[in-house]
Amino acid sequence: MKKIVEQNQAGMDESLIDYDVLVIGGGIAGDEAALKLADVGYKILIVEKDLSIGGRMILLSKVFPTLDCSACITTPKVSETARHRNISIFTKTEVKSITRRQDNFFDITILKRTRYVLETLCTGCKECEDVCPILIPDEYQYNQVARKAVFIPFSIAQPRIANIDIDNCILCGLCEKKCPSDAIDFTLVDTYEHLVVKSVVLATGFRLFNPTVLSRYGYGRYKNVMTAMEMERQLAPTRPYNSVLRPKDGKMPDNIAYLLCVGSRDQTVGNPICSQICCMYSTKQAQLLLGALPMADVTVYYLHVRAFGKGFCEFYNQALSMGVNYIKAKVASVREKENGNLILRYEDFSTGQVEEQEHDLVVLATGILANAEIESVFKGEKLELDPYEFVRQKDMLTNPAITSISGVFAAGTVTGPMDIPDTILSAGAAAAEATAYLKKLS
Amino acid sequence: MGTTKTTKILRETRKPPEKALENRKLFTERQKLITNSLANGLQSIPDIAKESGLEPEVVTYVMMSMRKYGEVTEIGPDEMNEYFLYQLKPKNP
Repeated sequence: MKKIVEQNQAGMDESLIDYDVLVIGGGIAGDEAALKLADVGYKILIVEKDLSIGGRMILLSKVFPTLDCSACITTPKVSETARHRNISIFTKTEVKSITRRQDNFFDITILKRTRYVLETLCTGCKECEDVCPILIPDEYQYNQVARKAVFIPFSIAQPRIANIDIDNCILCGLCEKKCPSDAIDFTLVDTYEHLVVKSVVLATGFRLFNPTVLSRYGYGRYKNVMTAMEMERQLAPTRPYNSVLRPKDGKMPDNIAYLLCVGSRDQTVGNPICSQICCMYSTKQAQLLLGALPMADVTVYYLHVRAFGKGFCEFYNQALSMGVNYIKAKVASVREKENGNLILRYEDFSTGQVEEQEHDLVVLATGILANAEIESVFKGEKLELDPYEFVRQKDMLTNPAITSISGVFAAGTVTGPMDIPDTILSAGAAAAEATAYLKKLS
Repeated sequence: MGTTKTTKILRETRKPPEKALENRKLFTERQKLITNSLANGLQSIPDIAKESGLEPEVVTYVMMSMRKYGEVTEIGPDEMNEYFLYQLKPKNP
């Protein structure tokens, strides 16, 4: 690995340094922070555990409140990240430990999991995928359709390199035989690598609430109860089906319900905070559904509509004017009829009455949870978390990107739920703090 | 191109997972049932489920996967505008 050999004014041995900054997480926050730091000349390594950078945003249909195409915004950003001469990217790689050295740099151990594909040779032609006989649920389509055991995760994946899911591979050898560039190599193994960096930016994002916990809504039991992320895929141009369809029987839905605050603002599931984005992504999806299914009715069952950002209130009013029905209510339960339709039982807050309503598809607007795994990789120093297990900001008003560890900065939803514009702002703040820190170091 | 050299090396130390073999068998069986059903002409998902004896959600999943890999295509909605009709895609010569 190429070392930076310039001498540091403070007398630190910079020849040890592999990268100035390690960015953990290649979602939109990590990419933005990396680009900002790379533009001022720092050498950056992005470590992403998934097969592609771009995070969740690259899988969205459109963004609120502008209804711009999400992939159209994300693709140039991830391309710029991948092509930047100061940025290196390791995908399918995890950071296993971070330890501060005596010279104030960080020792990093990473685990590079093999794709069983030589990354420099793969052209992304998908010929291997064409001959693979194995079909298993596609996690990038939220299991609504199948993928092969050798696959490129999605068409705009960055990098566009095949991966072999070895746990589902029957070792038939067809992919290796077919590959025109001899890129497939089953002798490749996972490898640990050790690096030295000056600073770390955490951009590990969030988890989505698993609604099977709330069995009263029937997710996992009733096929026509789906999550908003599953609907997001159905609304995207690279959708799993030919149109928006009910997973149970392929019917075009014409009476769709959204349940807000599923797994957020709910002490019973240990997540009392608002997820910030569910009201608006549901409002966005409701509008997109009315575009895709002009005869459909969409009803949103809400506790409060939190339209707090720039243009959000107007966006909500636009949904109302398009005919989206909002009912202030608490949904108690969902039960399935024989024809796959679903009966919602709810308390209507405007009347105080318990009502029942039939819908043919129910979408759960699931909340955002912390992704606290990153805490355990720090050795010898404690990364402090807030009461909700997001990374604690030293001072969320004056230093939102500074964590409890000097030289470690936080970008995006690793510190709490936020929408895309706020994530970009947060990543910019992390890059600015990291730049100031690196300047002081030298 | 054309060898299975490294596959053979891995097969010496690793057996294909039983679950993957079973899944392959199951998926192929289901695929065959759907193909047979579509061989009779345009069909909706409930039509295929009725004819094949598969659960409708299984037909949705398998047929949409077949559509993804170019084996099936949609024609348009039925008369009631409720369900799409699908047909087998002619194989490339």
